[in-house]
Amino acid sequence: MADKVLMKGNEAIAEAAIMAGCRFYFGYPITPQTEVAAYMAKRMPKIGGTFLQAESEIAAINMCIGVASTGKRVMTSSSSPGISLKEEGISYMAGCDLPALIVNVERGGPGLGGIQPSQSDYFQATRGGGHGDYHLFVVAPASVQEMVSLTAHAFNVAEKYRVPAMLLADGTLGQMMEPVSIEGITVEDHDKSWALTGTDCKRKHNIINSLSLLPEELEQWNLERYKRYEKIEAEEPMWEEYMMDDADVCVVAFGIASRVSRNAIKAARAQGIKVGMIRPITLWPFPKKPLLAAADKVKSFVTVELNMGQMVEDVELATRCKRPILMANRVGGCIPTPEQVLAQIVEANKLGGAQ
Amino acid sequence: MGEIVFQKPKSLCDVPLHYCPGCTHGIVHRLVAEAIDELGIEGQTIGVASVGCSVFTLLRA
Repeated sequence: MADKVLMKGNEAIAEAAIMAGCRFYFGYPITPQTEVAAYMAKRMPKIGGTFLQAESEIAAINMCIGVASTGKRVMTSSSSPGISLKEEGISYMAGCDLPALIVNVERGGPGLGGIQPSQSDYFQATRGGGHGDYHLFVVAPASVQEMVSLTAHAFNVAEKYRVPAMLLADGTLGQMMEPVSIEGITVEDHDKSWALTGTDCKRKHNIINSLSLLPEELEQWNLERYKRYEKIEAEEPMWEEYMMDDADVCVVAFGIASRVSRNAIKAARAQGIKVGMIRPITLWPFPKKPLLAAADKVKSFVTVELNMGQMVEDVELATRCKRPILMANRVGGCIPTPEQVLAQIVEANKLGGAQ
Repeated sequence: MGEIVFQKPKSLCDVPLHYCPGCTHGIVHRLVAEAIDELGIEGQTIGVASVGCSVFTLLRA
């Protein structure tokens, strides 16, 4: 076990990316994720990597397209309004089948919003975010340690399926410090024969492109991509179950909301309420299977979110609305309290059976 | 037989030019290709096409 150090979530993401073989970072400052860029600025020059503060978020994501085209690991990071700016480039990345990691340390919105934590970019992250039919592989860490493991995992999955990946965190996780060990990072070796590396005049040149003016051809590109998405949905969902064995009520929460929920669950258990939690770790693919299975066992659900109710829609779909779903939420940079979540658990425990 | 004094650069692919008559974009392609040939860097060169007509370079290559 490697020695533990005290790190901010943002710094842990940056160090994990470097340990995962990322040597190119392009970004633009925005609270609450600027420490990612600051850490990269310090570290990259020392290890022969490239740090560049771009003139804008749009420039940064397009620089990522360039590096990703050459088959090298590349990352950019921002917070909500900056991610919206990047969405055009993210769509192009998806259209070009390029792996890369985009980090969103969310803050309250919409618009310029605020600088306090939020989970209100859930729809944007899980539905693609830009134009066209596409998905990102989306991971949602709930601790600084998990920011390390999921950063590395996201790079591997992105390369395995040639899709852009997003690490969706929030201002709390980005700013808070926890003991963390930078370990257990494996760099998988995936096929890069598609990359633009120069032909040495020995092979036919590769082309990275998202444009086709032939509808039938563009349709085939989409269908081929969705075959890969099907495989991701079958093989890559990740979740954690907490006290679900005898649960009557199932809390569903990701990221920082799951940390608050744990306290509420302990308090509810102390009152004799049988409550557990399913914590989605991948938001796309969404862990539908365990939720559908839970719907046949529990009598109600409570989602806990830092938004107006976004993940709750996926819970409704996954559980096919078999059980009533309550929600405990705050928005605008506010975080639900354990007491607020507990109150909803108590209410949910009064509801019974199928709707 | 006469001596060849001018020909298409080696790194310029032999495909129909897609620009409209009168557009000088094709000349830029040739000049870039000539420079690539002169520097001997065809095998180490990655072309980047902009949006608009020049992106068709990718589709026809």
